[in-house]
Amino acid sequence: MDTFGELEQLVLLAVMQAGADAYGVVVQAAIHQKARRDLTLGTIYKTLSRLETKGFVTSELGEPTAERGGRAKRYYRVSAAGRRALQHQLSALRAMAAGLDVGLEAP
Amino acid sequence: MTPTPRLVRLIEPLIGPDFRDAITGDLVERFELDLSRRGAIVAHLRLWRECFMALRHFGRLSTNQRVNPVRSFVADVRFGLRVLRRTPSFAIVCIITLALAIGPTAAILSVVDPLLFRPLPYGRPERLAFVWERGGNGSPITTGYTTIEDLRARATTLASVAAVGSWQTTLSTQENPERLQGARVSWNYFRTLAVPMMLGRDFTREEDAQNKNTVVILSHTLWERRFNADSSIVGRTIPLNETPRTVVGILPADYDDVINPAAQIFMPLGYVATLPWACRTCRHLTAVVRVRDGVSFERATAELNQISSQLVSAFPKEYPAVGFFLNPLQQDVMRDARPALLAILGAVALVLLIAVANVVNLHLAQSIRRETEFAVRAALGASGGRLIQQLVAEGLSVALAGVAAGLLLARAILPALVSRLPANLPRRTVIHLEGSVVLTLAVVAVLIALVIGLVPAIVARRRSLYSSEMRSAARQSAGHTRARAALVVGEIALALLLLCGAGLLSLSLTKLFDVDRGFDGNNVITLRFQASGPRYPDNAAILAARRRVLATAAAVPGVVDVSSITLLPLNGGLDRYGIMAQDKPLDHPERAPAATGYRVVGDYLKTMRIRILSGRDLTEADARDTSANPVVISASLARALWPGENPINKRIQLSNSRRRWSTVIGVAADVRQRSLNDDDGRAFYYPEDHWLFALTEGVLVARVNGNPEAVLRAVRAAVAGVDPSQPVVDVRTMDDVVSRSTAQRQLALLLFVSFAGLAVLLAAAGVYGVLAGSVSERTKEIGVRTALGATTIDTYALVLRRGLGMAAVGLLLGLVGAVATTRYLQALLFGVAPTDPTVLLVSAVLLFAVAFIACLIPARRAVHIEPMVALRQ
Repeated sequence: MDTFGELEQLVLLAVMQAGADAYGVVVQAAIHQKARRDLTLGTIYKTLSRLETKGFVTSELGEPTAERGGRAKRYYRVSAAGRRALQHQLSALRAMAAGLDVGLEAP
Repeated sequence: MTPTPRLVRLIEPLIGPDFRDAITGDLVERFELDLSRRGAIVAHLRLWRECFMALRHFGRLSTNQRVNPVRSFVADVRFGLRVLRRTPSFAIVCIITLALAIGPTAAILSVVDPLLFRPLPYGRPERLAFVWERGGNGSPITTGYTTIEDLRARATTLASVAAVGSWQTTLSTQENPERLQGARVSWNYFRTLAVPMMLGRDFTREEDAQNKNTVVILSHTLWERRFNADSSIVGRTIPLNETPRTVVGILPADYDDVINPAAQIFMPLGYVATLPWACRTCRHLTAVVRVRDGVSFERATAELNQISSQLVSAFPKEYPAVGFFLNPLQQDVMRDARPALLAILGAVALVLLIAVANVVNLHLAQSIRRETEFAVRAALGASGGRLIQQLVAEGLSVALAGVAAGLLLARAILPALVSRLPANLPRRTVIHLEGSVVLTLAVVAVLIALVIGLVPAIVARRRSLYSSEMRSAARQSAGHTRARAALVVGEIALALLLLCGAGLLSLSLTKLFDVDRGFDGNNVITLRFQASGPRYPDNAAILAARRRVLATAAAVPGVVDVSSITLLPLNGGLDRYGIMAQDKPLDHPERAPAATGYRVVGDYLKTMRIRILSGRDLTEADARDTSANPVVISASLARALWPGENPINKRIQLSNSRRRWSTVIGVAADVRQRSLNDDDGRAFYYPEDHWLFALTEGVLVARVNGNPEAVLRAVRAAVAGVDPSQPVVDVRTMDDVVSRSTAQRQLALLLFVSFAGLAVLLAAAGVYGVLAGSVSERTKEIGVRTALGATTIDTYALVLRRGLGMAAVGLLLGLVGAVATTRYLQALLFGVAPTDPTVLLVSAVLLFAVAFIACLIPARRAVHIEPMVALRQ
């Protein structure tokens, strides 16, 4: 199974956080708010397109909107494979962290 | 619909079509968000970063290119920084070399740009001009009030005509009375310049009348310095010469009076045509005009000349010649400084060229060392363009670091530079390190980077023509060595230009100080003192005060002789009068020879050691005796009035005055008044007691024993004690006055010598670098030669021939260049031709000697090569 890096993990989680409204600016804001990381849109879209290639997210174009100067949004959604991979990776992380005082507790 | 920022529109087509809408749309949204939450600056900075990163990840300049240029350039810059970090000494030498040239370049640009190229701080300054009358010898001269009135009434091509004259006054506050430099101006002066007041109002027409001109306008600096920027001062009175004057307006902070650069306070002229000093020949005013919109300066000049002909036919005795000069303001005020500034700008440009040549040279040497790296890259598929791009990116890191270091250096040297500018230079207050200069240098940095990247690449490409051959080590670097030698030859040639310039300027200054100035300024001290205000109502009171000051100064220990004068030589003043001889009547009084008038109290000629050539000096008895009217004239004036005759006991009169005839009792040696290099020496010395009016300000001159600085302080204290309400200013030694009169030349000399020194150093480093490189490349060859019996002298000759050959070619080219370009220094030279053979020869020999020393070090290394060691390498 494909694994992914920290950046991909952050973006994937942010897409899940954003729910139905997951596109660049929202993902960026979520990462900034929760993870205190100041990523640029270029970096985020690069990561998203990598995730899409691996089949972890899907995307579709929305309608053009006026506040974007008449440009369409690209909405992202985490695929089933993405969800599985994330669960797999996080449980591996939790297992490794169990019993260590690193701030990652079992649920 | 939300507007798209220009930057986003710019990059939009560069982003791949799959993500174009998603990314640019997000960029717009993000920008709007930042704009509303964090302000314009943060929003724009973020936008730049976002766009750059978007381009980096998704940009493409053409559809079929695999490599993203932005991305690869970033990688190249990073790689370049790593290369530099690996060779820190190389990087530091390059950066210091560039900084040493860019620092002075930035400083000089910061000075030259506002002085010569930036428009003056007035409304539509290109329409402003001076109007000068034409003097008897065809040169421009100042004008009189009535003539200015005529111009205002008759000239239809001029929108506005203003008059300005010099004025000095004392701010007579209880504490710290201060002598102020000011100007008397016609009521429409600031309107003509189109300068609005920052506070209060401009003068009114009614205030520009005799006895109504009791109002003043303050400069922003005076207002801040003496009145704590208190806006309630407008409408209140301040004591000037112990008389209250009402402040009506404050000038804006960026106002800069180019006509009287030192003026801090302005009052209305207050003339009427009937006043004796308003006459046509009372030429003590400067006319400043605004040419009407749409009218060319040629047409305006034509009309002015027409008016002049009318005036001359109506008043033939009052004008020496027909014609007016209409000189654009900016050109005219910078006329004297322009040649020096341009010469210095040229010199610093040469230094920059030499520095760039040196850095390119260093990079060429470096690229030989990195040959393997480039070969590997090329083998892995890097195209020629890709390699050049990498070299340019590396060059850019070096160039930008050099510019940054240079700017820091410029910040340090700029204040020192400004303090050395001649004091009478307008616009010096606006000299700062400006954004425009920084921007210019950024462009320069990019150019330098291109040169650094391209030259090694071109050399490398030429070499690849025979890349298939088996090459010897010597062959391999032949192209490089030739290119490096060419650069060094160029450096030597340019350094010689600077050295010649420095030599010419230094010789000029030496000759200038050798000029017989007519007086002995050693151990002479001087200061200006006042007797103004209601307590000094008439000549008698002023002169009594003058004598009290002189007596007080005479009592100070160390003072040998003391006297006072109305005008100090070489101190920037001029007071000229037409002189008529009684036995040679002139039909045109305006063509009488002009002479500088000095009014003296005490033994001025003796104090200054001005030689009496015949007759006798003025004495205190002459001053007291009101029946006789004695005068001492200079030798040049005597020759002009009575060539070949004995002037003693002949009689002269000032043109156009109702003064009595004066009898010449003595002839004194000529004194340089205007400047060391330009004066006709015509002058007369007159007892101040006999003059129509006494000046409220006198210049004290004293000859002292011992340390002049110490006596100077004592004299100053003594004079200030005579009347504490009267300011004492310009306290100096006469040597200092003479030195200041050559400030512009000294500055030019200082800069040329510094630049030439730097240039010679860089050129020597270049010679050394090329030879050292070639010796280490030819170690094997030299070892073989030594083994086969080459003597020490042979080896020296081998290396020196090459080094001195470069030097000789460079010097030859430099001499040709010097002959062609030193004439641009003409305005700064004195007593020496621009192509003075001695200067050229000495400069060439000096530079050759330096090159020789630079050759010796690598030559010694070559001599000490052990054949066995060399062959085993």
